[in-house]
Amino acid sequence: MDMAIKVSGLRRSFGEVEAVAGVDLEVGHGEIFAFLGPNGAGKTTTIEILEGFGERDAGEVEVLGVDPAQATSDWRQRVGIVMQESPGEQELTVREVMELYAGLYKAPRGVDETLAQVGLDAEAAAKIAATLSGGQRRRLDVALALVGDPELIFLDEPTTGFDPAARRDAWKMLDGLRELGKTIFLTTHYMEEAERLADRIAVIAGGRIIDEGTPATIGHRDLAASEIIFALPAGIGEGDLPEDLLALAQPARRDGRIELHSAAPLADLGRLGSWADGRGLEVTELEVHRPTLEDVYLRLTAEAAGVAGANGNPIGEEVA
Amino acid sequence: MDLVLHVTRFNLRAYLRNRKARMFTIVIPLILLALLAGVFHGGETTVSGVTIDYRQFFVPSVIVFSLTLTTLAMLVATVVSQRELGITKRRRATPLPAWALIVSQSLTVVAMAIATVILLLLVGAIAFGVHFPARGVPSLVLGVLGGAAAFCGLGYALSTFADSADSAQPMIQLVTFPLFFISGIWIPLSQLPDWLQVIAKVFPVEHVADLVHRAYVGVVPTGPVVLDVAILIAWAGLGAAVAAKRFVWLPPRKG
Repeated sequence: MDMAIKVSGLRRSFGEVEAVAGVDLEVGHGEIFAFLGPNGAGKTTTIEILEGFGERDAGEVEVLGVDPAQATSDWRQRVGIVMQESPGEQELTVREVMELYAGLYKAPRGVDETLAQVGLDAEAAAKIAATLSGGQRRRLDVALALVGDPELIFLDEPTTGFDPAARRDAWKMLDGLRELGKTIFLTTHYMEEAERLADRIAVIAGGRIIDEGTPATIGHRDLAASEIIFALPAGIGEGDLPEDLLALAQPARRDGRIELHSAAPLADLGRLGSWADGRGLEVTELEVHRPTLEDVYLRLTAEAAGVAGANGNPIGEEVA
Repeated sequence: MDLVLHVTRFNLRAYLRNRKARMFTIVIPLILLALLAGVFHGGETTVSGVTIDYRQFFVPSVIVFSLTLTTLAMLVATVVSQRELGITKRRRATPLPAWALIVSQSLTVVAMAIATVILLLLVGAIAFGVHFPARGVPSLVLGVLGGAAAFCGLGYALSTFADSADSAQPMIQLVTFPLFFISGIWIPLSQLPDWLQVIAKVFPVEHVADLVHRAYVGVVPTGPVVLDVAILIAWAGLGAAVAAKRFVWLPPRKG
């Protein structure tokens, strides 16, 4: 299949540090692809190379069939870019900035239509761009990337600094782009955002892609154990549980509740229920959940960093 | 070319709204003109062997001073701060070609410089009675265009040596202040020691000053004019070459 983005064997070093150490990835047309990774993992270096702003040492890169290192004006007609943090123009109004950028494209979208799509009203359009609030400025950034009617859009942390309501609005807007058939390459630190928006996710750490999949399957999330957490009446403890459930018990929790990790949560819940019923016990404060995308992400990146796990003792405690 | 004019139009609009730019290109030159004309009325000095009234010396001097500030200082300040803020990168992310971006930035400051020069010509004539002889026009045009070219080239070269607007400011002053003093603007060149005159003639400001002063005095012998223009073009070329080698679009990396 013809891909919107094709990368193989991408490498880039800065001095001694290999920021990108052999990255392969593919993004299909019309796909929303989330590129996740801790700061310093090689995310920005990779995205800058894809955007035609960064040099590479090795590897093949094709974006819309063109090597971005040879980015032409025609290629830029088809690519929209929302960069990280932009302070905005100091002396032009939102509408003027939009007119300025719209004038650089052969077939731009309408300025009013685009502003409406990102939720900037006439009042906001009359303001000097640099005086907008953080959330509104980000909307303007997105509007500037859309005004040329691109096929492919790079969104580098589009909702950083948003309040929860503004983030929901932004997601609605990105859903709108999906409906227009745009291909979107997204980076974010908000796992909820990736889960909500992305068709596919790749996680980068230490300059390498450490896992790739859909939000539901990445890191074997679909196969991973679910957590069952509950409280028992006073006087009844973990030790009173039947043996097959006891085998699933995790280290003691701070809140005194019991935590089980179960590969078959429904069957184990059934067992817990009949055990409690048989003894006339009340099971309270019950929660069941599968690992969140954030749990999976933290595990993947911690493994990649060579850390044993998030539960290890802090170094300070051993000294004391 | 349509793209260049499109961008220049918005640049100019932004420029006119910028307080610092208005100070540099309009307010400071006018105050300076008023002060100098008030302080030095009645005296005389000699330029290119011609004895003239001090006012006839200072009006063109203020023109050269403003031309330098508007093209060199404002260009460096704009280029560095737009790069630092990521605006340059943002514009490079569009189909706007690199050359069009550079030409429109240069055109913006040159248009402002020409407007300032015309303003000073008029104020000099109307308020201080320093008239501009018609036969000086070619020399003035050469001075303004040659100066603008040299200072834009130099401005792009210097902009690559500062990574923030804060560090650009002292650098510009370090470059322009000594040049103003040795280039026959505030003190006629003939009153400087010989070795300082030689140094001054290496740099572009003296040659712009020579062209503009000649225009006002009305004496325009061909010889040195050719030299002036040649040196200004050389500086424009040198600046462009340094800029082409060192220029970057992206803001400095933070981490």
